[in-house]
Amino acid sequence: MSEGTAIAEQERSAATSKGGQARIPRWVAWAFLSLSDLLFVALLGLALGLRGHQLFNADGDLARHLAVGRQILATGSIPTLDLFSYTRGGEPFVPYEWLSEVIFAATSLQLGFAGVAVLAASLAAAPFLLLARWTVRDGANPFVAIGLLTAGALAGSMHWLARPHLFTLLLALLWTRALVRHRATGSRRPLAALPPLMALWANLHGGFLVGFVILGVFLVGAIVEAQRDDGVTGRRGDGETRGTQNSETRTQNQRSMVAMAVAGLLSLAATGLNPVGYSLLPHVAGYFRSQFLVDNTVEYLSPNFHDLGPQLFLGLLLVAVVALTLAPRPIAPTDLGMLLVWTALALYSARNIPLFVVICLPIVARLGSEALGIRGGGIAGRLAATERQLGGPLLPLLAVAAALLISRGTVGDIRPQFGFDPALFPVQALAKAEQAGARGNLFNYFSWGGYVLYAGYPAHRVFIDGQTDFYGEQLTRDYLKVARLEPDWEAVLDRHRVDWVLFPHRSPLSMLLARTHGWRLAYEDETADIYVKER
Amino acid sequence: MRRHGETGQLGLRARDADPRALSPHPDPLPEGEGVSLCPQHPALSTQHWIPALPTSTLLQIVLLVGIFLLNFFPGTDPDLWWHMATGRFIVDTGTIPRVDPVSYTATGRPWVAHEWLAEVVLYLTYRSGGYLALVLLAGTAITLTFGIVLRTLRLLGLKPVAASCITFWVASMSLFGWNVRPQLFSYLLFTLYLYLLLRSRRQADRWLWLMPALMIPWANLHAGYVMGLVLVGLFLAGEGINRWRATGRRTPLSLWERVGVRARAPSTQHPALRTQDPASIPQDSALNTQHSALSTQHSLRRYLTVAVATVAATLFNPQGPAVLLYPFSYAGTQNASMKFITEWQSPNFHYYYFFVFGISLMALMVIPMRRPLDWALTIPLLALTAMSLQSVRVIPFYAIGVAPVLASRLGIAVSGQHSALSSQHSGLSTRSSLGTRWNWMVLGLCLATLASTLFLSDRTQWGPEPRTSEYPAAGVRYLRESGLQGKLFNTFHWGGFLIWSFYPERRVFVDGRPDMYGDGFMEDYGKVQDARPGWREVLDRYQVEVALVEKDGRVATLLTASGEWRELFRGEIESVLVRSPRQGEDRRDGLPASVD
Repeated sequence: MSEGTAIAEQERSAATSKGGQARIPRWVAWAFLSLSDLLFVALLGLALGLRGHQLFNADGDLARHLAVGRQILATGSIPTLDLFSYTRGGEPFVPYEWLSEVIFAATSLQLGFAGVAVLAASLAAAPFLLLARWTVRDGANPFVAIGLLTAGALAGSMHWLARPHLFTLLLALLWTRALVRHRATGSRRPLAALPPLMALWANLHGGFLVGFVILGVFLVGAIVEAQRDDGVTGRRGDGETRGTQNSETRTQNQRSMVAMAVAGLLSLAATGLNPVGYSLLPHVAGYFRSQFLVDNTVEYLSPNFHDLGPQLFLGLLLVAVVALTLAPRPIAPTDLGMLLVWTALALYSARNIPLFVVICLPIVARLGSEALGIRGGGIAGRLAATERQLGGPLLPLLAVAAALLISRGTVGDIRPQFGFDPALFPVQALAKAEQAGARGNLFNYFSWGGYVLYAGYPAHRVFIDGQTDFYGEQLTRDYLKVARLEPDWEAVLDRHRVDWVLFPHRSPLSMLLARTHGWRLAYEDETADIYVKER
Repeated sequence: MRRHGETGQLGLRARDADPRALSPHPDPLPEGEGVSLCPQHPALSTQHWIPALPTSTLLQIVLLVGIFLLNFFPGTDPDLWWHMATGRFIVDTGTIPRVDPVSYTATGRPWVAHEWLAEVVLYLTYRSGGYLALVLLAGTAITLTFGIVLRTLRLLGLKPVAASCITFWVASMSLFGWNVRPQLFSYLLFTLYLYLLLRSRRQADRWLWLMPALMIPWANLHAGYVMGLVLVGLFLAGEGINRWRATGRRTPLSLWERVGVRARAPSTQHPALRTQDPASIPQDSALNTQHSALSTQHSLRRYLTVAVATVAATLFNPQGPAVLLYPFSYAGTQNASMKFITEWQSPNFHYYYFFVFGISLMALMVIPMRRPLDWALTIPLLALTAMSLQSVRVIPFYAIGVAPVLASRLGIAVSGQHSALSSQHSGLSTRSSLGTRWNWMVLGLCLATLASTLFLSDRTQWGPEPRTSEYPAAGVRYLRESGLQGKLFNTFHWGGFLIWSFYPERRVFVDGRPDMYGDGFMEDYGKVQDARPGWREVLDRYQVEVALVEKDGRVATLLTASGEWRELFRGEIESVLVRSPRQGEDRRDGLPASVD
């Protein structure tokens, strides 16, 4: 039985039970905290509190996004040629995240870094609010569901960064939910949401490809289910009634497959609704053709299970295997496909762990609940029944508003400091660069490229930054040759006519330049060194 | 002329002469190990003196020979050198070192030579037959390991073809761990433990007591003996759960019940006894009723007694309880071994040789599980899965542990579809057991192909000396011939080679024993190797005068650029640098005096 069928069954049983149970008025449902609301508030607090520093400082990409977004807001146009580097300046550029960059930049301009932090934390926590509600509503034991989701949120919390990929988590969940609803009810209405969702997604983040992977798994799952049902019915040697049922099921399944395929094609067409049209798709997909870039980008590496987040993911993986093993019924092909695909992708790249959590945990929660057995009565049963009736947008929105007020210092004495940490980014060095005589072509530390644009553009343009899909493999190799002090490192600097270098204080390159003829240390602090070429 | 029913020259039994044998689909003979005879017309049997070779036997021979020959291909392991040097030290001095004898940075530091027996074996093997003898030893150990895996799968009722396929699968999963090193003994003994545990369910004989006896050499051969203890402990725990579920005994679950978890109706059978489809269990399966009836007769007490004796056996070593405590030095993720040694890292699935492992994890999701669950196999496997994802060096143990689970699952998965993997009367098994004399030719071709690959490949190692192309042999020669004196800084993975080459005339800075050097020292080494702030102080503190490092590497580049070091020798892969006389030097990390 697929997740969809399970949900349909659950809905039928819920409808039956409604007759005997008083329904809570909507205002009560909205006013009382549900378990999912509590989870959301806890995760919001966690993201802003314990992970608040990480939101801004784990990598340098946020600064680049803010710089690009600010540029778009200032000029009113979306750049399709590179404006930010001198190494590839003027070359065609695909702004596949322009909308999220505008959202982050506008938030930053209106609400400051506190607003950016609250936006990012809300985006990180929102999928879990929805997941908790839907998973319990779909019949999972609330304790199992909340436990797994909490572990899942923590497992993926290493990717709680103020970056456009947070939109992908939310959109992947909505996308999956629409497909699940379609499979559960047979209605085509949920599928109607897919093309507009994809049009939005394709402008927010390059992760929109995830949507097609999910859709592909649903299509393959539907085909396998159809084959299996045919096989089962055929073996039973059924009579006329069963033959009719079989025919109806087959027709329904075929209609569903056609509807999903049409929705997929329309969604594919919708990806063209962006500033560069259909060149977006090959550009985003093309990144994965460079094994060198994939292998040298930290977040694309396999998870390091020595760290807490991946260890929690490992725990979830083992729970999934045990739940699959113990579940009383065979898992539906679509659900199995989801588990396989997202486990494989999460093992391949740690950055897919949050997607595994968002897409697969509802399946694991349901299987786990089935394996353990759900009681109709008891605390869990009553809690699940209440949870199904509670929950609206009011309390989560109030929580976000409260978080914003507290973060900005409007309310209360707690005023967390959000922003770029001067111990990690060259805040002082960049401010004093010109004074130190640093002009011309800059060779910058990779992770600081975004910050240089944020704090220094248009006075300074970068050698490279986190947008490796644009800079390409050759320039990345050039960068690494210098940063790793490989032979001919000086030739790279000469070829790109580098005038000054901004690198971490006492880094190997910095120490080497200190001993290399023709370079002068123009500035140093505890974070950064500036070396200027003497001509 | 031989008559019907008469046992012929080749041992044909009376039933082979049954007229049914002439039918197009004769019943297969029971398959045994080794060469067996195919059923055929007696008139035909007199025409050939060559016995038929069943395809399944052919497959097993090719598999095991292939596994053996693959051991000629791996490069020389960096740790082999210091293992042999330690063996040489023990043989020469007649004592097992208790403090570090080979480095100048950790002189006198306590060292648990937990692999002393393996090191002696490796050294004596090398002394008697050169590196070729070591490769033959390793090949034998690995082949035996997977031979036992094959035997275990047959014990579980899998047909030879299926058993060979799974063995091939798990062998390829562990391929990267096949080096001439003490851990080979751990692979072999771990496999033997698993076999004995599964066998104990089938036969209540005294073979189980081999486990404590085997633990005595194991605890002296390699610290991987702890995997044996883990296996026994988790198997015992799993058996406990199996028994609990089988007898219907229930522990208080009121709290669980309150939170909505109801206890399932207790099973009335041990997992090894019960199956959804009795026909799916082969008659000779270890999990069939007859065998499992024996299993139920085994009390947990027997396993417990054996487990306690096995733990006690670890104390039979020259270093006493220190060996028991040693594996705990690897606990956690922040110690030097976990940070510095690649094989303790998590698998990087971007590399093709971890794909098989990844696919195996997927397979556990896809292939249905035998009901009820056999916790005695499942719990160890879950633990091995977790450990393998933490550290790649556990993957070979995982490979061995997953084999019976895959076998058990495949047995169920295919039984409903009348597949050949476990059914006694399937077409494939019939075909596979129909021995044919042509198989001898196929076998010859396969072996010839394997042998020619071995001969033609330039990666094969079968000379008297190990290949040193990845080691600074030229640099060592230069240092020896030039008589250059002074304390030496060396790259971590060359330390073993230098110990083997230089000890006792020269001692090393570091080698492949981060557990002995300790976290603090390894942090110092990392500062130099990664050129992190403080690297110069480290070189000064240890009064390093000579460096043997990678050519054009970061350290060589920085040292040369510093002006205080000059390169004296450049080999294919290495540079020898020497510190220049110190004149008004600036001791800060590479910053010129003008920076102040």
